[in-house]
Amino acid sequence: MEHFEKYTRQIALDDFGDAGQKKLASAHIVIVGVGGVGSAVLPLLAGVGVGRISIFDCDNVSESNLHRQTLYTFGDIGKPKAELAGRFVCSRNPDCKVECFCEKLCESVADNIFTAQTICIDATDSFASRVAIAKVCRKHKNRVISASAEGFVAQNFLFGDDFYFDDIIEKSAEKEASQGLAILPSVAHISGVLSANATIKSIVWDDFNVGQFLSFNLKTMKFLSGNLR
Amino acid sequence: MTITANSKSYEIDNPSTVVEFIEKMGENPKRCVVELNGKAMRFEQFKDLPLNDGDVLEVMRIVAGG
Repeated sequence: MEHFEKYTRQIALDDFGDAGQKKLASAHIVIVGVGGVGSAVLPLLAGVGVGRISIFDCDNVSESNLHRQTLYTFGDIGKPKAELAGRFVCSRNPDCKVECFCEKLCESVADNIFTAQTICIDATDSFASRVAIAKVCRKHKNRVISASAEGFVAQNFLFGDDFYFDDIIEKSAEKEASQGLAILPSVAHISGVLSANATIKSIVWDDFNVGQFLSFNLKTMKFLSGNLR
Repeated sequence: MTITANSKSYEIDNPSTVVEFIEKMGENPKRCVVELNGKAMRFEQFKDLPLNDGDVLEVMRIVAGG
């Protein structure tokens, strides 16, 4: 199919084909947080041909972001991340419909844009925000890929079917800080790449194992995975 | 008894639980998941479990940064 010319190298994959590409074209992704993790997710999902991407982030670019947040440049300091990220997606794939929200994801906005097929990528930077996103996505019964990174550790958790982030963390731990902690840029990107992979598998092959987690320590090169459901 | 935690061997004199052991490691068990003898568990699932001689434990702190 000529329209899919730019995707020929992925369409050629086993069990992918034009059918897989059409699924991507009709998919809707919500990405909350376009920091270090989000910077790795967005180029891949835009490039692979996801049809609609909604971007949420209430922050502006700061100088200390730039070492890992590769969507942005020095000239972007002070500008809103969601808008810059949206512009990047449009330039990377003009066929992608992009919506930018310079705000946190809240229930009222989610009610307007979420469907049960929407996949949410949580790339935020605190336990509190992850619990808030869990609440919204539980209501809409969405699949959620919680992608995080800190120090040398990259993690992904898959949620859905009434099993969400607030089911794996105790209430008293929700207020613990994660913002401003040390992080290796490559670690944030590994987390983003893993979550992009999980998103594509969910869309193309309906392969989504709720409760599955992956944790990769890039200093020790130790990899841990399992299912917490 | 002897247990292995995060690939290191530990001698434990008194009976201990998974939660007590994680606290001795300096971690908050409420933001950890573990793999005990190959089975992954969240806090709700491991909070009352005792440790036994020969147990193999992996402790993973959940991170939330982006």
